[in-house]
Amino acid sequence: MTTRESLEHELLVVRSQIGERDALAELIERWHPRLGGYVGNMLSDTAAVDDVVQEIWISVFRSLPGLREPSKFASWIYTIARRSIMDRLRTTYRTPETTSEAADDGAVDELIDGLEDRMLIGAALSDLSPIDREVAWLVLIEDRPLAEVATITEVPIGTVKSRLHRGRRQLRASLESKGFTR
Amino acid sequence: MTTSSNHHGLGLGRRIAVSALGVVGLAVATGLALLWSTEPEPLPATTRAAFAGMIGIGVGWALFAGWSLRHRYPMFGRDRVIAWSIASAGSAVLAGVASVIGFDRGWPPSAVGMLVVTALEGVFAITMLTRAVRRHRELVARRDELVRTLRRS
Repeated sequence: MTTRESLEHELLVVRSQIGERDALAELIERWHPRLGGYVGNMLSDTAAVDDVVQEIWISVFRSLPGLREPSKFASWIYTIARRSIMDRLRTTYRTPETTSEAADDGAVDELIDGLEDRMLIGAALSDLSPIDREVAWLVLIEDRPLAEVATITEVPIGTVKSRLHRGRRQLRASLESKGFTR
Repeated sequence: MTTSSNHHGLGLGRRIAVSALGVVGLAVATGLALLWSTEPEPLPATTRAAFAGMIGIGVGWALFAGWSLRHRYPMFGRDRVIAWSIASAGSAVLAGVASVIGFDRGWPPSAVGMLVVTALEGVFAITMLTRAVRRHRELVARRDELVRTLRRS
């Protein structure tokens, strides 16, 4: 996101906090698809996606008037979304964490950059474990910085990197098995 | 879920209506309680029951409004200014009514107590109104600053 886009986005949030109805409607229009994509990527139960997105919006509306740093809206809303998703996932998934580090992330990015349709990446992400998928989605699809992803996911930045590395590796294998090559 | 904000109960008119409902409910309950407590002679049982019922309804509406505003109708910057303005005005009217009744009935302890309560309500409402106005001004200043910055860039 460029500086201008960031300022425009902050302006939209501030206007919403003031109570300008058109700004709030625009904020919803912008974020509803993104939240739907994020939640849909994280939940295998597609029927639950709408419910979770609705829960997220309720939390957002309730807390938006008190948001003190409108410039950090993206990080804030993803944190809320993540909490709602984790509430759903907590009883379903228990994925062990590894911290293996290796190189060759660039090759995966090159492969990903070569794909014109990011929906293909979204579809391939479904092969990842939920925690890896979440990080991969935020970094590769939403272009969020690693530090912000660490804040959203409430883990150290090193853990974000290891999850991202693992996700990239699995993503490359998944894409290559589907016939996409560099 | 639709993306229309009206489906989230965010309409400004509805929020003002709920705020006004809460103030009116509280005013009715307070006024009736004041009248009841300052009656020089004991009231008949049916009148007491009627007063109690109406006070209960007023309190019920006030509680409903408070719950709705907390859980269903988020209050944004200018909504809070409007809502606390209504509450401040309502408190001033209540304090006025309490003063008139108290003066008319020779300031029995219950009337004095009610005047103190309404005055405290008024102080609280005005304090919250001041905070709401300050917050609204901050947001408007930030909005204008962002608009200027974007125009320059």
